[in-house]
Amino acid sequence: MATHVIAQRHEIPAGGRKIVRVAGREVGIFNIDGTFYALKNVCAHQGARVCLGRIVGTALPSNVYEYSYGREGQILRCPWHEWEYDIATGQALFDPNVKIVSYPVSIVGDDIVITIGSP
Amino acid sequence: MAAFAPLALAESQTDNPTMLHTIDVDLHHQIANWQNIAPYAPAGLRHRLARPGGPPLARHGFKMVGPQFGAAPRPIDANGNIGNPAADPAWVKAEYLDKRGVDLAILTGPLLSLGVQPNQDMAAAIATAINDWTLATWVRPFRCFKGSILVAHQDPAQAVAEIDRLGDDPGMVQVLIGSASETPLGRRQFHPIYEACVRNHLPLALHIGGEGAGMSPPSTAVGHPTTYFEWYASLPQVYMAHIMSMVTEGVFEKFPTLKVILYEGGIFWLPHIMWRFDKNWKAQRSETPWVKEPPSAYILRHFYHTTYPLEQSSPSELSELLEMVEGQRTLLFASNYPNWELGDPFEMIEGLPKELRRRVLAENAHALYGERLLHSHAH
Repeated sequence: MATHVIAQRHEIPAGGRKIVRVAGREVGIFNIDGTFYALKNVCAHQGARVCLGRIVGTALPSNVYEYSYGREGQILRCPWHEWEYDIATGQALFDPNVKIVSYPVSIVGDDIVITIGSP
Repeated sequence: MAAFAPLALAESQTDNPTMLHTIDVDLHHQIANWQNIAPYAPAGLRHRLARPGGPPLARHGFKMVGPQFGAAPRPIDANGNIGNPAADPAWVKAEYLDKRGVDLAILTGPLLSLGVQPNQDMAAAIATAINDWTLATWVRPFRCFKGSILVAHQDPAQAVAEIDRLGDDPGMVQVLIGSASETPLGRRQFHPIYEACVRNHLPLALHIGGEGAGMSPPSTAVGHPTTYFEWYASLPQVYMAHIMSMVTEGVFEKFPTLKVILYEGGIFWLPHIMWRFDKNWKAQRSETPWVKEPPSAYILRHFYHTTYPLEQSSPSELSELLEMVEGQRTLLFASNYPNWELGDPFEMIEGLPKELRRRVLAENAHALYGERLLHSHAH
């Protein structure tokens, strides 16, 4: 288990992202309304650099022939095959057992700190 | 005709059967003479059915080469004339059901193109006439026959009325529509029909046969086939399109208890569409957010399949494919009697493991149709 300072808060405004290389891997840091999330830049499907994908909303589960769009800014769509992921958890929307590796994030002053490896 | 011993002991004529051993879900009883049907039609259109040759019916131009009935038995009169093997219920019972040990047969009739007939009022009248004629002449007098409520789905309102008219008749065990259709069957105008099936606790049977006739689109997605050979071999495409339509349009989200039987389609193509469908759903699911499970989950839960014609393959390949479509639960014995041009329907299931054959011959049908199979339906 190791902690890494990977960015400064002011570098990533709300709705933004930054991709950094740390401890031999790429990690995407996302700011959703002031909360930061860190995902490994590897899609659970075929390993694409998923953190480069579009940050979007999605059609919420609904009754037949009803349409409800929501969660704007919370969903990451892989640029290769358009799989949707919940940025906050790394989970695929079609199956929560399919996940991008995610890292715990803490804020120390202006530093964004992630923890890699099991505690 | 090959001499096959009955696969199970017939007990169809016992007074209170609790379990049947051989159930044929697909017996095509036929119309020898429309004048016998006409009296059952609504008064206003009765005269159209009673004309020589029957009512006007749009047909496709495909007809098989060679004998339609294959190895099926057929009546021969004193002068040596060969008669229709599916026009007389007593003869069919004696020469097919009793000789093959079939306890119960579900009648699927002679008309699978009703849903693409341009005149929807005529089509609805024909459906009503055939249903009442079937009940009066085949089902009521014989414990061994059950009927299907035939409906013409191009006018969903009349189809729903017909389902509700006969839905609680103990002689009827399913709703039957031809898979030939102006549009894919998942589209919302058809949902009232599915609601009526569920309301009456009846599964829905789809049967190929009318593709290319009347208002039907061409039977393949690239246009009309040229020959019967090509037409028949390509028909599972129609089921692929209907399955995908019904799943994506949310039919099974709206009607979670609806069960659908795909007649005469085979099964080997199903794993392909389940995989492809699931694959695309992972990325495209937000377009139909009501499709909340992988499409294959709906397919496995809601669709049933029949053994005529079951693909022939090595035992290991066959059992692998059957496992993929959960055949131990979803496969039903269907003879397609008297249309045995592809072979003897009992031979088709000879290669199945014994336990699976037992399920296919009876248990799966019992589970699907429930107590209706056993209810007395005589007047």
